[in-house]
Amino acid sequence: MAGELDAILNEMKAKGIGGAVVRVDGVAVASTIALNDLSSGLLASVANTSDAMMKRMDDRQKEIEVAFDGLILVMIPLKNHVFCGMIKDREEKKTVQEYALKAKAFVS
Amino acid sequence: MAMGVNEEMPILKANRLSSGIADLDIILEGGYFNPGNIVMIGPSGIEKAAFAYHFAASVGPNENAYVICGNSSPADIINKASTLGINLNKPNISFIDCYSATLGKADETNPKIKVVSGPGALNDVSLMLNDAIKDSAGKKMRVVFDTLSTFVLYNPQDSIRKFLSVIEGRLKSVGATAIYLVDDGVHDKQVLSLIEHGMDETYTIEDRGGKFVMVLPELDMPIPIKIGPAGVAIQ
Repeated sequence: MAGELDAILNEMKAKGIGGAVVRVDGVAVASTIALNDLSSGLLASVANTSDAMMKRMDDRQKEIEVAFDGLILVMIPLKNHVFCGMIKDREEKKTVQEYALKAKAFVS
Repeated sequence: MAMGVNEEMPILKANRLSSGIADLDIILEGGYFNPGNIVMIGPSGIEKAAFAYHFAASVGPNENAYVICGNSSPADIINKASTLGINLNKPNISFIDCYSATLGKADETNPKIKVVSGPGALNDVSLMLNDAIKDSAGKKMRVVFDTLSTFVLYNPQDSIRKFLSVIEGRLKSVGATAIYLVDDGVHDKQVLSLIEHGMDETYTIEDRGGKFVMVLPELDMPIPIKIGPAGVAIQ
């Protein structure tokens, strides 16, 4: 699984978008961005908190965006994982969504 | 639970035990530390007890809950809880009654109530907890001290220190989560330090001009709470 995800993330990185796949319990599975134990845990925590909020409203989340100064972190839930991409503008979001769809086949 | 989180609601971590309050579970990412020793400090009213009763009442089918009664009888506690919509009259909730015998009104016929001569009998409480641990083999344990303050007032500091260091370790070693209720304003700094010394988390309930808030460990923002006929509501 990790090998296939590495390939997908490297392909996305070649297009200028760094990313990661993080398990919902905070374990980093694959990454092309600097990701230590703490930040992968935080990513999972943000996704899980948002997921809990949506479920409390009887809804499901499709994706999460966190906007920083000049960067947008897009997080797409994939089963028990979260696919992350760091984009510079919204037009790149579609690319992240396409790669997330590819990665879906390799996560459980 | 795979991966240490609940797969349906991954914010809920496996090393936590439900508080019995759904919104609080989400804030705490699953509930109180498990195993863990939790001290809950608050005014001497019903507020902190409400949290403890929610915790005991959310005992699951493969769990046992024990309420150690220091200043009320089991019947009073069950009644108080029921006024908050909390049911403590369950087959897997038992009581260690350290209060009724001091009034000569202990019920020794009820198998769910173990009677101790009074809050000064720490050795007997310790033995009762040992029995509870044996009875709960293979199950998760929830323990509530209602209130630890009563035991502190009845015993010398040294005895309390030894008692806590033994039972905190023993309960944690069997995977239990124990909540110790402490009355605010009753103990001096030294005693409070003694109480908090071996605890994993401290929760504080504060009365801010008639409105109550709960101060959580590791969270800067106090959480407004309301206690009513349906128990604790997080606002």
